[in-house]
Amino acid sequence: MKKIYILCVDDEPEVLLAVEQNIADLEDTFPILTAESTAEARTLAKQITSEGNQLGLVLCDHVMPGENGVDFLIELDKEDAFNNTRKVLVTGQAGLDATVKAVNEGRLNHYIAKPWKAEDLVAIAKDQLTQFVIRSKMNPLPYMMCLDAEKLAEYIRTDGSVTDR
Amino acid sequence: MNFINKKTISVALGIAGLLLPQFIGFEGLEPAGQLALGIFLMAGIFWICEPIPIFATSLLIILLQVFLLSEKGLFAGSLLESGYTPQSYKDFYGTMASPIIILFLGGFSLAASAVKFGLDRTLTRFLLKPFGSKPQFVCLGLMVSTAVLSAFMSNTATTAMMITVVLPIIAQLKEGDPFKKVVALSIPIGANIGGIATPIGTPPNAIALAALRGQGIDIAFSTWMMLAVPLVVIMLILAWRILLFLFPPATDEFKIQLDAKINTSPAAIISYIVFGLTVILWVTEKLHGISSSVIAFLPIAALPALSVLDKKDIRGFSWEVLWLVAGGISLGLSLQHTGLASWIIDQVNWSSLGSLGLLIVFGLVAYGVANLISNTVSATILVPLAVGLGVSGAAGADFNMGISIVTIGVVVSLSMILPISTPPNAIAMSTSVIESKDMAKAGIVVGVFGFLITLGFSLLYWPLFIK
Amino acid sequence: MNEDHNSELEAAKISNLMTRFKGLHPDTVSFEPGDSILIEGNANSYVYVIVSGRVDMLKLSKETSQHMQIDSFGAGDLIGLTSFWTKQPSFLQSKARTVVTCLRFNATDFEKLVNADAVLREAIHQLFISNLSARYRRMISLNVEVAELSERLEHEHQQLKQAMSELQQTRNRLIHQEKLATLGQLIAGIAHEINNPCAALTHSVECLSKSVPSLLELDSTQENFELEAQLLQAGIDCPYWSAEETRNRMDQIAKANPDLKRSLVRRLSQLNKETFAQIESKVGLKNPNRINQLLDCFEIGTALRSTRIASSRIQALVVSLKNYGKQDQEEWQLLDLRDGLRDTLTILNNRLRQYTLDLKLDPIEPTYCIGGELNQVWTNLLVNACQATPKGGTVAITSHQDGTHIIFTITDSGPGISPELFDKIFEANFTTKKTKSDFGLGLGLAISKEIIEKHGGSILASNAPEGGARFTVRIPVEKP
Repeated sequence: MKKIYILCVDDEPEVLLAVEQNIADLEDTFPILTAESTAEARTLAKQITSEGNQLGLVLCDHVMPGENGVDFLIELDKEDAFNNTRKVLVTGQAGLDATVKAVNEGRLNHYIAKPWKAEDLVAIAKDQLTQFVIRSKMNPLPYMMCLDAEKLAEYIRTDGSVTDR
Repeated sequence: MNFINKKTISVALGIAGLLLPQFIGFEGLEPAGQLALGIFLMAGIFWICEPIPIFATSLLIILLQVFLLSEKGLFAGSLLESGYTPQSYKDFYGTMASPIIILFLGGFSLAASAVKFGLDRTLTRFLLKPFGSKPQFVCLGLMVSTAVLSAFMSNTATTAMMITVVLPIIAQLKEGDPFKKVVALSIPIGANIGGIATPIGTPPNAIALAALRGQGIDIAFSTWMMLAVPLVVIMLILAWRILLFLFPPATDEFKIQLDAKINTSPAAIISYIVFGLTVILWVTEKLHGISSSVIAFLPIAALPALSVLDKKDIRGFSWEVLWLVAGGISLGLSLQHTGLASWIIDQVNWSSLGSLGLLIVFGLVAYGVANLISNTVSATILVPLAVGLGVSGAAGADFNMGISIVTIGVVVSLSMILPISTPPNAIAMSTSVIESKDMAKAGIVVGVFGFLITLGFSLLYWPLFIK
Repeated sequence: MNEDHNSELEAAKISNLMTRFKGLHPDTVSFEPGDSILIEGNANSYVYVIVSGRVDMLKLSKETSQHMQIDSFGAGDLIGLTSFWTKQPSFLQSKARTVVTCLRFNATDFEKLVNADAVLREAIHQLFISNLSARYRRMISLNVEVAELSERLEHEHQQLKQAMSELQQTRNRLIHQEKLATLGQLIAGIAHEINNPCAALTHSVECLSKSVPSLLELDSTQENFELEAQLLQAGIDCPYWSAEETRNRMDQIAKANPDLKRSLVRRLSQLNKETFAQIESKVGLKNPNRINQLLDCFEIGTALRSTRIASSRIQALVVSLKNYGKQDQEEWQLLDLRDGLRDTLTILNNRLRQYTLDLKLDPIEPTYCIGGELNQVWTNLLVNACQATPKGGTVAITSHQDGTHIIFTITDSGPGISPELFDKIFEANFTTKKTKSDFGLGLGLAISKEIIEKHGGSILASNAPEGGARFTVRIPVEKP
């Protein structure tokens, strides 16, 4: 079965650690990969698709050395393989301009302000992955336990993605 | 990349299953039978191991049949020489539009319009209301509503809808209240049992009906319901008591939000009328004599004609379920026509088991297999064998083929031990309030009682309808 | 002028009388333009009667050491009368403006003239009196004029003073606004700098409040409680692994133990090798409860580590902020200018993070300066450098001492400045940015120049040989 990955990008190791520990409960269903720069993140994203898996969610910081998060997400969105990938900016500061740009061009799906609450981050990650599963028209059954069961059930009801057998 | 994995092994096994009978001569098996055995083995392996989706296997069966066994096939000449008259390829293709498939298509049309206008939801609210707010009755209400809906819609879609109804209820209950488990389990159990109630309730019914029709036993929509509904009612009540016994609720009373808003747009009203009319015509088949498969075309044609369903809705039908069933029916054709079914039956001396013993064996195998693999596939594999047994007369004169077919069709729907047993079970697990062992506990108890009751029906009640 | 006309008449009359009155021989003297008739401060023994031409009466101003014109006389006017009469040095200087012809009387002649003839005496007296009265009238009108003028001057002076103070206020307000705007944007950047350690702190506290209570529930009589303590310490001492290292460790563990859940593999990958080996040998990986307990201990340790690191980062930032924030203390102090620059770099870290910073700060002498104001200069120059440089570029800063001056250069790797703008760039509201400035109000360089000049230094814009704009700041070590 194709695996759906979560990619976390932040140049500060302690923040990265906080993100990955917050969403640790998702890891058994959605393997997590972490990167300290957008360049590393891009390599990992390519690696995920080249192994036949999918990138479901990117949690990305904005202000980082070199390329910033918004530009990375915009670049990512231009590639077909990552079109459905849910893109979330986790940042203490991105100016309004950068955010507007990210929303318009990168189809940014969510914005999380630092510092965040663990339960908020988990809820947002789950919601975004639910959207990913629905939009990618995947079989939702393996993910129902871990994600938003109600939304996925409604998806099964209306879309017939799971049938009697 | 590692090539030795489950997928490649099962593909290799399947291909071996297809080829092996062609090289090993089996005594008493004609070349056509050997080809059919190859297809049967491959299909069985593919269906069980699922290296490809089960409906793809079904399509593969039809492909192999038209190429290997039909009059236009590669071996038509040599088969004729061996004394076998190949079937027309149209017979195999015909299974894809057989009356039973059309009946299902009618059911899909109705279900699609019901979902589109929220009729399923409205009906649930309406059905739940009389059951009040006492936990045990809410549970019964949930089971009855689920069963009623799943009798006409797919079990899976019904479960998915009901899950959205029960998740708020579960959230409202206190942490650790066993009633959470009752609520979560009542839905898949209700859906699995409810599917038995009508011919269109669940695909295994179609396999059974198609086999019966192939043997000249025509069972009307209403007749099936008369056979099945009493069983369903008893099973529901029994399962209800079992659930409450296994997981006694800690709550006395709770509220459920039932804001039934009925969609009154013209298209919705039309869909309700078509739905009601079709169901009424189906259950009154005996009175007017028009076949349910004929009536089934009413919603198929009327709903798009009246702009209730658009092309997007029609694309959304679960066509693969129809193909799965069609492949099963098609496989059954060859099993009988090539004499393979009889040959398999001949390998065992069945008469020593007696007719009751045979029924029990078929029932147990069907129940066991269906817990592990697709219900439809289980029925597809077993029903032709029952037919073969009946046709060959190997089981003795008092073996009632028709009843054993119905028994297999019903018993597969009672398989609900594991999360993978049926999609409704898998969906119910997503509530995160039940563990696999809870499901197994309830599934085994309900299954064992259900099996016994079904046996009782097949001995005492069904003979009244199927001679 | 009437008086002049009369004086001419009088002069004509006098010369007429003179012809009748023989025996008097006043000299007729003539002067070329520019010739002095009387010199200020010198004794005078003549009285001159102007017959024709014009004479300027000048007075030497003590303040400006220049001659101011007091009056001018024409035909019929008398020159030297006062000094002649009083025998005191001449009070004014008289200089011919045109060719002047005068009658000059010495004391003897004058005596004779006055006593000679009743008719002539009468005429002469009249001439004197009319001359003196004309002078007196002019004096009065002059006085009035002076009074009026000084009043008008006073009024204009007041207006100027008011305009001046208004200008000063506007200027201060602008500088203040610029400071506020810069400050606002700085604060946003600092918020991010504080947010990162805050996120780590929040997470650590969450982790601690989850794990510590369960740790307390552990059976402390357990013989190997020691192991828990060890893991706790290992967590505190453990460094942060890089993302790549974590991945490699995870792959390694997962390969060796394919049955482990990935979430557990991740937790195990955080352990250092010795601790991992210890757990593997003493507990084994097949006992999930025990392993989770131990990992909880380890994570309490890492949470404490994160807390320590995060709080020291916040602390360092606060110190920099405090130093930087001395902006409003206008106090001359002896400071190492590099400290202020470093504080500014800390404050601007959020902006500078996207560039490579090339610091070459040679030791320099402590310098008299107003530290807070120079911080504003550094801020402006650094922000300018960032704005001019594409992301990923380099900002180079150097400092060195050249005798009595400290020299800083800030060089970016942007497109540089076109040479005709080298001076213009320091004008208020000059900007090359097409859209509204995203930092400050566009007064940055103007204010910087002013601050540097206040310190007796200079600021210069140029282009670095390798391209990119360079700002060179020179500040004298001594207080100007």
